[in-house]
Amino acid sequence: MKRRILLQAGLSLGLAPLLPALAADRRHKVMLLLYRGVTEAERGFMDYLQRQQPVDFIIRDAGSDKAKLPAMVAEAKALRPDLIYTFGTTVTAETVGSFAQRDPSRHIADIPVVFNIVADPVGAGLAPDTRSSLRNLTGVSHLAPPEAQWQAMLRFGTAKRIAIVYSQNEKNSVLASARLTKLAQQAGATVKVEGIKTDADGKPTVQGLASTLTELLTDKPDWLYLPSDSFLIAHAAAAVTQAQVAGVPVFAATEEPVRQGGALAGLVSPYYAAGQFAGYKAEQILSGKRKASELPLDTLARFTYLVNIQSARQLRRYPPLALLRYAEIVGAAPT
Amino acid sequence: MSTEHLQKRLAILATALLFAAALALTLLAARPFATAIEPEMARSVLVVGDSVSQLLSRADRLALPFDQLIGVDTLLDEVRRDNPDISYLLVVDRHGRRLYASGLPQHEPLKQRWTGAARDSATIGPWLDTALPIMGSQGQLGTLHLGQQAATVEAQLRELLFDLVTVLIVAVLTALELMRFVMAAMVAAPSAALAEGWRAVRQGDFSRYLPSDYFGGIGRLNARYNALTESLNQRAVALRVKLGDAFEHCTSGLRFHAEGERPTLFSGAVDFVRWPFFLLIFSDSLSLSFFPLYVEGFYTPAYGISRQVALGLPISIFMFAWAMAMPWAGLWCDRLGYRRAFAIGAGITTVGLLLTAVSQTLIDLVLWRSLTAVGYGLVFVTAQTYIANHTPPERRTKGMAMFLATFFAGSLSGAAIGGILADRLGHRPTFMLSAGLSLAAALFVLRFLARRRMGAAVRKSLSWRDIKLLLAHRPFLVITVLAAIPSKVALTGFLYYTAPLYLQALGNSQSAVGRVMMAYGLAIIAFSPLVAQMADKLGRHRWFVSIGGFAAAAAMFAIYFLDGTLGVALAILLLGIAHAIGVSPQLALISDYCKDAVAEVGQATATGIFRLIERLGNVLGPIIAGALIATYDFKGAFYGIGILTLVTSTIFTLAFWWLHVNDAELAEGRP
Repeated sequence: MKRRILLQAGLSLGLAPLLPALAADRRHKVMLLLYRGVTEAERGFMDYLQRQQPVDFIIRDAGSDKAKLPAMVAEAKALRPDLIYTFGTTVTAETVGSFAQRDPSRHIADIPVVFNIVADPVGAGLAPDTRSSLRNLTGVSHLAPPEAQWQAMLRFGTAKRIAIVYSQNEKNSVLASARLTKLAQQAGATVKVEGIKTDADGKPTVQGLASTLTELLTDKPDWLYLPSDSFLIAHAAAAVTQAQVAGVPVFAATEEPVRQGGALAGLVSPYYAAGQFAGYKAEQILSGKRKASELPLDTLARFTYLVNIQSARQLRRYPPLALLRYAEIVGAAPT
Repeated sequence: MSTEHLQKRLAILATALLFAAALALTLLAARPFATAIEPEMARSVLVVGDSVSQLLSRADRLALPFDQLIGVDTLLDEVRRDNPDISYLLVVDRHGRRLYASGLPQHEPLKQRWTGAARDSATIGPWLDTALPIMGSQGQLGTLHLGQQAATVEAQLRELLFDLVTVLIVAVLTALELMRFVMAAMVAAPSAALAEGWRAVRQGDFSRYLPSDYFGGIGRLNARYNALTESLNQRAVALRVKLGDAFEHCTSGLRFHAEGERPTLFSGAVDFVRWPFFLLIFSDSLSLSFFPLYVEGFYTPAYGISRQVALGLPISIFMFAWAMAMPWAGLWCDRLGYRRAFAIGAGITTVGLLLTAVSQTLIDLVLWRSLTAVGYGLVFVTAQTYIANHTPPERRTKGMAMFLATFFAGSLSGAAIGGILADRLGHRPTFMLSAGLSLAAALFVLRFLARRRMGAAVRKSLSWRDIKLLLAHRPFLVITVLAAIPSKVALTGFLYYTAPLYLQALGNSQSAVGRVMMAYGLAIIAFSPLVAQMADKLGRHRWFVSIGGFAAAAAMFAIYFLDGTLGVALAILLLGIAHAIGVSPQLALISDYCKDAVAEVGQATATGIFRLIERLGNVLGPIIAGALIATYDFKGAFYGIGILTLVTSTIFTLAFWWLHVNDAELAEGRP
């Protein structure tokens, strides 16, 4: 059962009923509000949508600066696109507000919004439950449920002492860290969890990350867990290197720390597939088949178990043989 | 030497030769099979072994150290759990050092094999060890050993040997039947025709021709004979023109056929109907070993009856339709003639079997089975009447014994082969095949039976008056209710219904079920002639019926002493012996004790009514067994039928003892 969700990422998009789009002659305008540039997620989204219907994309990027977000939302209000795509919890919360607290003068309510790469939309307060946002909002969560991630970690081997690091200013990261902590503790593991030290503005810094990690890694835990966290993803390589020098393997909730950063393992949704799924939702809204409020907030049904074999050899933490059946191996020399 | 003697010898010789040839072939085939089965069995675990070995190779390609891998033992445990055929798994390195293992037995000779450079499969002690190389990027890394129970190999061999023996027995029985037919058609019938032709000629009758559709010596002889007859008749025609009225005067006492006619002598023989009858019984018995299981596929609780009763119902209804069809079938057969009656019966059976194969619900299954039963009944009656009318009265008993022997030979062969076929083809295709064989029987009869009306007395139709008259006769009632009906209840309730289900539940293959069921027919064929001889000599028919009844009850309790497949086999064999002893004397007993009543309704009618009532037992059997299984499980059904048989046999014995004492002047048995 567990194996099924861990299996190679297949797209649950296969169920997309390819009904003929009620040909709206005019080209749709879709605006993308991003946080750290165009990722695989946006490529998946745009590729999918473009294949379905003629569409123009307007892309705005905050460049990892939260302060730029209000201006981007204001511009969207003025431009009035047919649909808005938002990347990540932070951008989405800034664009539509939380379900409980929204300000019509600041937040967007009358344009359908499709979010993507939001770790936990309900936990972040975007919607009351995953069946419907009850407003002009829907989207895709890219994360494997914390239970599946914890099981995946156990499957690799010992997980008695866990260290978790997160950015205190990223809501999803705080939530994910708390949920994994709870699961690990229930399973009898000891957990050390620390927020990254911040500067005066409350933003995490590179130096803060290094010193927080030094503290966490001193007694050499079995795993260092990296939640879905924009700051950590941006500085994955540094975090992973520091952990591996200390002889601690890293388990990541997202792709990049494993693929590019060299983390040992991770249970992830490929960003591209999540983007395609978001594109499918956007297409249903644009063609008038459904309203955003009628579409559930989904996660992908299948996840990829990533193993970085180079790190495995370096750390001498070899994956159990059974894992080789279904894991995607990265970092192997091409054979 | 009479032709009959010659025929018998020829048939036995040919069958013996066939048996020897088949036996030799079997033995020759069994040996290479024994050597082939090891790799065949090893192949069954090869896929699993391959996936493990591939995984180890993959780990090596990823540069993971072969002797330090994680989770290999766990993986091997999982593999063993998912594949119960595999008793152990072992990974050794290039030097035979043990690295990872699951379920390893302690066995010295095996250890030696593991440390050596083993390849392929080998049976060592009680294990079949299969070695698979594990290849890495730098050549062989080590070897994966997979162990299976060698006993499984032996079990498979034994199973196959049983199948071969079964086929051998069936082949011999079939060959005997076929030989008898061939002999009759190719030797006996033409010589009889020739003899009759010559007898006619001796009496001055030149009007008959011999059949011209023979090959070889007989064909040539007949052709010459016919040419001679033809020229004689042509001359007679010429003479008649020439001489006018004087012709009749000159040729008084001689007979010629009229111009343009060509009357042909045709000799029918009992054996002509035996083969198609055998074929039809064979075809219908193919489903005997799996029929209750086939029905199970149609059962849903929506029918509102318990599963066990529902499974028995189609058998009961088949038996009911068969019993009900019989009296009508007799009348039909008289009206239509053997050839048409048999062909139509076999045709109906063909359609019934074909529709049975494509049934969708329990309801239409029951309907098609009833149709099959009607055709079956028509064929049964026709064959019976044909044999009765083609045997001289003094040999009637022997004729009937032969009829029953053919019936049971067909039935046991069909049950055994049907099991083997069902294992390999499945249920529905086996029914299709049944239909094909039944059609073949119909075509056979159309080709070989004469298009002639029978000369026998037309039978009376069944009347209520006769039935009431017979049932009012106490010995008749006692024999039918206490001896005949319980026998049939045991036959259908135990042999046709409970035994296949129970044998299947014990984990037997269809072939094994068919094979075990074969024991009944074999016992009947082997013991019936013996018992008939003894019964005729001793004359105490009632003791035979009693002993048969008690033996049948004992058979049902065999399971109590010996549970499992062997116990069921023993029970079936014992039941066969019991029925061989107790069933055929029942009719003789009626002749002995019911003379007045039988004389009043006529022998044929009395027998017909006896058979009709007896078949009620056939109908009741599966219903009783089903109800017993539902309440007391399989063994309860065996014991229940056993108790029923025991009680009826006891009352029967007491009743006859009482009748005997009261009826002292009645001689024991026939003089």
